[in-house]
Amino acid sequence: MKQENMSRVEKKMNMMWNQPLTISEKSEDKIQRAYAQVLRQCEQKTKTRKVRSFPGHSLRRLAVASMAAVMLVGTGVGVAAAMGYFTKGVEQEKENLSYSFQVNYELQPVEVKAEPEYLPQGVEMGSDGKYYDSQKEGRGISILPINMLNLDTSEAQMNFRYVDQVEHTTIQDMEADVISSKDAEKYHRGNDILLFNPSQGYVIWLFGDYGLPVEELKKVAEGLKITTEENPALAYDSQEALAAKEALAAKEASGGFDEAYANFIANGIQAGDVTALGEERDCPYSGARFRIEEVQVFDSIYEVPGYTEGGLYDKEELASWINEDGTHKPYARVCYDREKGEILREETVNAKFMAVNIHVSHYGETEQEDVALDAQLVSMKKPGSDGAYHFPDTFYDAVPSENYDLQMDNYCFYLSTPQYLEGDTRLHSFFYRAMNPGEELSYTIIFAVDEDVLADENNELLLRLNASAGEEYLCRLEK
Amino acid sequence: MEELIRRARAYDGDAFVELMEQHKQSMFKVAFAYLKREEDAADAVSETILDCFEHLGSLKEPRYFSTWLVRILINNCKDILKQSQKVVSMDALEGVEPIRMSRENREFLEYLEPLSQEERMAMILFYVWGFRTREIAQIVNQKESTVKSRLLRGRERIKQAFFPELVSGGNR
Repeated sequence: MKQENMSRVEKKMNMMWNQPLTISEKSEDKIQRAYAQVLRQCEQKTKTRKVRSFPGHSLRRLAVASMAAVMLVGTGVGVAAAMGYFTKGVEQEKENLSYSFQVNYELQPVEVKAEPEYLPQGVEMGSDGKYYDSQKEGRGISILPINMLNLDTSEAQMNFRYVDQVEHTTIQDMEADVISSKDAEKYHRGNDILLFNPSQGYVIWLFGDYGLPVEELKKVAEGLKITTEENPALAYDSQEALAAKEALAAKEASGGFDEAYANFIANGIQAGDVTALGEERDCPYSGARFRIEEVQVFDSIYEVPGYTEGGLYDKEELASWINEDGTHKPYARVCYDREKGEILREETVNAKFMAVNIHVSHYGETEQEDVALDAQLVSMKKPGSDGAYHFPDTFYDAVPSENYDLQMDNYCFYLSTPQYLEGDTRLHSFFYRAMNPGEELSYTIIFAVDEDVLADENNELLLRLNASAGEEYLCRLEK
Repeated sequence: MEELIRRARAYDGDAFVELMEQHKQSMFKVAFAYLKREEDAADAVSETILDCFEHLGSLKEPRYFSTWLVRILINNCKDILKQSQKVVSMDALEGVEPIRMSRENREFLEYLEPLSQEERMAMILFYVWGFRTREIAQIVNQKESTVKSRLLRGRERIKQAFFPELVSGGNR
């Protein structure tokens, strides 16, 4: 009965989210103006292109032709035919697996489609080559047909990490690699299957999420209905177009988000931009003025002054992770290398409870309906010679299969003065509060923090006030 | 879709418009959920259309088009939000355009109401755009477990709000 309800809810949810919105004439006008601007630019570009010669793939074709010639000399005529649309190279180093592809530009690419004729029980068709199990998480499947043009534009390389095992086999008369991830369920990693068809010009990539057995994914691959279709419009980029794209990509990379992020990582956060303990910090969007007054660490949550169950957003979550005396149970976490994202070690750790007392006042002129009272902890290296906080080289996360959410995103799990206690408002506004101009409030939030993080002398915990508009306001928790 | 992308990259204006039309509703839903005012949502979508055209050549892998497009859209929504400093609550909105807003749009806003901003994004990217949790995690720069948790909570809140008869057990 419960499963039937879930399925009905999921169907209703799909319907409600996919019901079309009405776009007013005024909005449609704005969009049409944007289209008109694009069409004008297209027209100008097309005119320009008509007077330019189009050399095709001469250089790249030459490169492939030369390679084929070398192969012919070395191994005989059969090799050129065997190359077909592509050849692949495979490189595996420990848990990292890479495929690289050499595309034969002499052959015209074809369209490829792949439809599953077998789906595991409970898995239903979603959209865009994706299939979901609405009753159970982690059983999704993606099927990605890759034609030669895709392979060419994807820089002809595929990389896989945390590979446990690669089974080289044959599926539907095609060479196939079944790539199992290490500790797939534990770390919520999926498994992959690649089907290679160099004679017809495509690769099919199947991805099964962590909860789907590899054997089931194999059955999906075995049952795929694969069709190819000629399409003269499919054409490889010319050298000219490739060079233009590369130049644009380089230009974008030099001023875009990646560079800004790299600069942020390199420059860190100047200590002067972080509010000191006991000082006030204004959050203009919400008109709230915050002051961190006191920070204390306790072994047991019951030792926190004024603690009541009413301040817990999720009583069950805490109950499953504390002992009878209110101390935190050990849990398993993973330590990651921040730069590479690689797992350095897994360990079981203890945690304590950090209570932060905060004073907030509303200095705006109108009532503010949603002042966010919660906060996040951010662990940073203590300022060095450049006077800036930098991210530590490692970070931690609970082992996914632990289902430990008490430190999720390093948010607090407790608020001493919740205003919204019932029904929907509790669900989505527990950590928010309406405040009138001039209103003041002192409150306590509680975090779970790993013992070694608390004791780490190289790093410092900062508090990120979660202002409604998503701006960052960092405060120190140490004097 | 990849063929449309290829043609659009080759300055085929009709292909580009068709590509955008295919994504218009989905883009509006993200922008509407973020900005809550249709005129702001229309600004974000039209700005995204122009950005998309300008930078389409830099998209390395057409299969990531949707991910790439929604990132541009979210950034534009954030910019508009910052510029206008319009943090409009749902209740306030109801007082702004009660008559001009269509039934479908009002219903859509009602569906969003029980959800936090993060949950709205997760739900729309999952149900409307059809992204996997892993992809959503990349789009919103969060961990996959966080996205899953947001979807779980979002579903629970929607169930509580709109399908209470189907909910077994009480509120958390």
